[in-house]
Amino acid sequence: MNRQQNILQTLDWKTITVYLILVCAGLICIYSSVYNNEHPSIFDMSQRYGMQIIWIATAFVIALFILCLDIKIFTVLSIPLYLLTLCLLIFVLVSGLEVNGSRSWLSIGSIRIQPAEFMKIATALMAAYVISEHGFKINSMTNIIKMLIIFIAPIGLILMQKDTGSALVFSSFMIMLYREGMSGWIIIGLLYLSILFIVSLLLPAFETICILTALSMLIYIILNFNILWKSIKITFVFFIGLIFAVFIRNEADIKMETQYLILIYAAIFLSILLISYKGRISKLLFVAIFFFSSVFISFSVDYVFNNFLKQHQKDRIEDMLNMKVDLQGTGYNVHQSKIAIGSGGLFGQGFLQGTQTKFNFVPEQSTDFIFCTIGEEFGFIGCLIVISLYLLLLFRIIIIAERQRFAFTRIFAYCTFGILFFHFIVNVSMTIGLIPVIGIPLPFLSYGGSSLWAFTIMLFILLKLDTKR
Amino acid sequence: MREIENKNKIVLFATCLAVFIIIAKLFYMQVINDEYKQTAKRNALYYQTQYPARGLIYDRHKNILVSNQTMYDITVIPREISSFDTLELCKILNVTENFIKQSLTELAKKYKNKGIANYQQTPIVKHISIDAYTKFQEKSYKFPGFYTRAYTARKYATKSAANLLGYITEVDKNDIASDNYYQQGDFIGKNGIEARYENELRGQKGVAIYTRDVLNRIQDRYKSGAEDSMAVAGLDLICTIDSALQNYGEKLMQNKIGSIVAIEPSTGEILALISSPCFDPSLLDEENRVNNYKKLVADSYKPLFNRAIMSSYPPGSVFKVANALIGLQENVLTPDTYYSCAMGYHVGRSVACHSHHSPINMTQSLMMSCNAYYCHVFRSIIDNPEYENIYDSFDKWMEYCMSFGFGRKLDSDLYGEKNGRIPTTTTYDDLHGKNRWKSLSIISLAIGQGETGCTPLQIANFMATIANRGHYYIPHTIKDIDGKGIDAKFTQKRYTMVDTVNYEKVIDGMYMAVNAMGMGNTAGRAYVQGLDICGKTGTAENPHGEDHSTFACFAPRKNPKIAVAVYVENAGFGATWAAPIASLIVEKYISGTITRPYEEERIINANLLNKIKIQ
Repeated sequence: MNRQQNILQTLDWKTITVYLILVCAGLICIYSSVYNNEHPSIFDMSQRYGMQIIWIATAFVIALFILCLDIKIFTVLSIPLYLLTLCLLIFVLVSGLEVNGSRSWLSIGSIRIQPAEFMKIATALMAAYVISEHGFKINSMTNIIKMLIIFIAPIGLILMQKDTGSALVFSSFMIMLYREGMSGWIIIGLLYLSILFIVSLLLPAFETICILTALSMLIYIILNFNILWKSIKITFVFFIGLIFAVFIRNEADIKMETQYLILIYAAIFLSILLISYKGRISKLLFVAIFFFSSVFISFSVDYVFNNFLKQHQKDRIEDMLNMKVDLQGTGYNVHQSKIAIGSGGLFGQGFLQGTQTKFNFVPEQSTDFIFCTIGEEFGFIGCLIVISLYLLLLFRIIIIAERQRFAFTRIFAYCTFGILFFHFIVNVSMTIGLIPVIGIPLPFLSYGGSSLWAFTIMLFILLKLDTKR
Repeated sequence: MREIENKNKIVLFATCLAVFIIIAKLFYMQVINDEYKQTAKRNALYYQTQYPARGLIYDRHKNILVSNQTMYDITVIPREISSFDTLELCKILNVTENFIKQSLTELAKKYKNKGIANYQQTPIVKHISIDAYTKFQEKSYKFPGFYTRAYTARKYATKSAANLLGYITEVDKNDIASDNYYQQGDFIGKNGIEARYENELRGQKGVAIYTRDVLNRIQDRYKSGAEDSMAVAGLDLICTIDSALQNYGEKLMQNKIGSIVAIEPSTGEILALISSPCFDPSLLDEENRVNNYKKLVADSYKPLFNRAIMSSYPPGSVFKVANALIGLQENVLTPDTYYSCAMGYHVGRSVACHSHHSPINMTQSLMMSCNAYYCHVFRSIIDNPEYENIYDSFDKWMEYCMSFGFGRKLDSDLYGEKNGRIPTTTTYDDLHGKNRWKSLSIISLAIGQGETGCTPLQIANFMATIANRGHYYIPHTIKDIDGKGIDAKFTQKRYTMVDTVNYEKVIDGMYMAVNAMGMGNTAGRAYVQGLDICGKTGTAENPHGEDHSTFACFAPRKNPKIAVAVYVENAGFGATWAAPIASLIVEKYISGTITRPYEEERIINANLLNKIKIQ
């Protein structure tokens, strides 16, 4: 009795309230997006909204069950759970169900589940268990290898299922690693690489190299901030020399493309600088390495893009970057999704009044594109409310994380934060065309048992852990 | 520890930044940009145009001339086509297998190139018969993806008046650009009454708005039809044409090039307007237009050229009546003014005349169509000492001509009416130099030659003016628009600059020209007993070959019922062809029977096409 009361008092009710609102909002949106006149009852089990009610009810049962478990079980079971889910993934690869081109579904009777959704939880638990071990140092080589194995095993299996979206979700563990001591430069570096990737695809080689040259010189000036004047002078000399080199090329009628001219000139200039310039070589070397590796990556991007990516992946990237417009083909989803959201206006068309929603203009509307329903029927205000709810939930999770005595709970909380953050930001961004389409659901709102269960389990494990703060 | 604290703040900051970007984009899409809302409407709403029935056209006796008929097309929705029995389809539609295959591949190309979704209906076999339509309906289940489309097109009850009635076609880019009422697939009147009364005939399209789903399938009425509008049928027109007379005129003009215009003087209503060669208006109906239009355009006799209102012929001797009227009004001529004629007017360039007794008075001059007499008259008008110089007197003469309706559009409701030509002082300044011309240099004007040109409509209107003794009503082709009457400008009397009394004086001469047998009258061939036709022949010299035979008249002398102008191109003397044709028209209209079947037969059987020089 005493223990029971204790749980109710220490449970984070604010988070639970946000969770309940989001789940109910999800049900309403699913009802609206698959609504038809023949099945007006929300409890109609032949329709998706009827099914979603079952999923929600079972999710509540699971949540209650988790709250009743002993807290130790999560640490004890993290390794077996991780291994078990990995086995499930392998099993799916062997005898899974293929839906929309990815073999990621497991069919048990009439119920279909997606083990990848549960893999996220198992990996989070596993990572929390390993990192929270006494004496764990994130920078030691053995630990790095351990971590790599923990993450790469599920990512590899999921990629083999051709479920790129779910695999990308694992990158959200970076946030936890960052919080646990990993250098922020790694994230900045990765972001830089992805921007470089986009710029290389969007701009011709010449302009890319011009930008990189300018950027390198800027970095050089910043690195040598204590000798600002001198570094500016050197940058100035560099550019004057560059113009001179271009002039000579034109006069001598040498047939060489400007980008290669810049590359050769930069190499010569840096060599002269290295020889004549004693001391602070490390900074100079850094800029040189930055410049030439960037150029190398940029040149490889086109090659990789043309030779390694699959057609649908290329199409998605090309659509997002507006490299070619094909509204009837691959750009169709996003185009329709943007129309639906855009047509909502400030206050929306009203519940069940959205024409784009009602007549199936947006594919996958009850699952990955559920945000369209909110956008069209409830407008900017509706979107704002839903986004605020997510923001609130994310803030609560950070608050919960930061008040823990045990590292395990904190690490798990950051994993949860990362996964929810990634799902939320990526899903909403793709529906409004900010990033390419990555097929991952919107947590708690999208239709589907696996994802609702997985997110519920994750959140309630965290809430249970939190009761022992 | 501080570093850690910073790290969670950085995480929070990054989260907020990402959310801010999303909200900014949402705000732009939903609140600022309107484009998505428009696209959404186009996406989900289907505007089905409700086509109104085009107004019908009746003749003056309420006989139907132009009505509507339903046409049937076979259309396809490419994505719905699955295997079907091509042979059976061809049999039903009476087309070859090749045709179907070719059309389908062409269609596929079109869809590919234009990026049209392949779930839209497009016609593939046009204008199938009602039989084929019903047969297809019965068996349509065998041909998935094939549908029928019904729409209304024009049907002609008459075989004449093609240029007068005009025709309708599907709108082209220019039509759509100039009037946003029109959309692709609409019909618009081209030429004739169809074009001139397009706004009255077309009615008002309605629209039924439906919601549709992503596969273009119609779902429901949008807002239960609250924003729908009904189609309003076009207005029916009763035109002034007497179709019996029109048919008769076209029959008389067969194998001749030229024009007949008949006007009711008391109203200005056009009773018949014939431009020969004539053609059956059905040649340009929906079913046949594509094949025939090019042929008609290529025809060297130019059947599409409406000579009655577009062709500017030299008026010839008919113009002597105008000069007589001007002379009388200017007091330089009286009915008793005598001039002599010795086979012509031998001053200056010399104008020849035929042999007749001399001297003659004005009545006789009209009766015998004396050239010399009108050279005298014209010179006395132009050299009138009342005026300071030739410029003033010529301007006055021109004003008179304009008041008769020459040299300008009559502002009728005929589509494509032309000005004709009356020279101005500048014309002669350009020709001869300023102050370097005098009445003798322009003496051809005396007898309606030289720089003058009149359309048959203008001549007929001039006859109506004389019949009315000094006024006319603007000629028009429409008697009534759906019981609402016609434009007030058509019911207003237009006076000329010549007084009524002077008209009576020239009518004497015109009467004698037809009726004074044995006295050297020129238009005896137009004589019909009891009809009191008053008329004037003309033989219009022209650079295109033999003279045009013209005759203009009205009848009867008292209470005239009809005014007629006839032109037969390159046919020679006015008396030989134009006069009998005009008299037959008058007789047909007034008494309904023909007293001279031999004359009628001669005219109908005459083939004067070989006289035409094709340019």
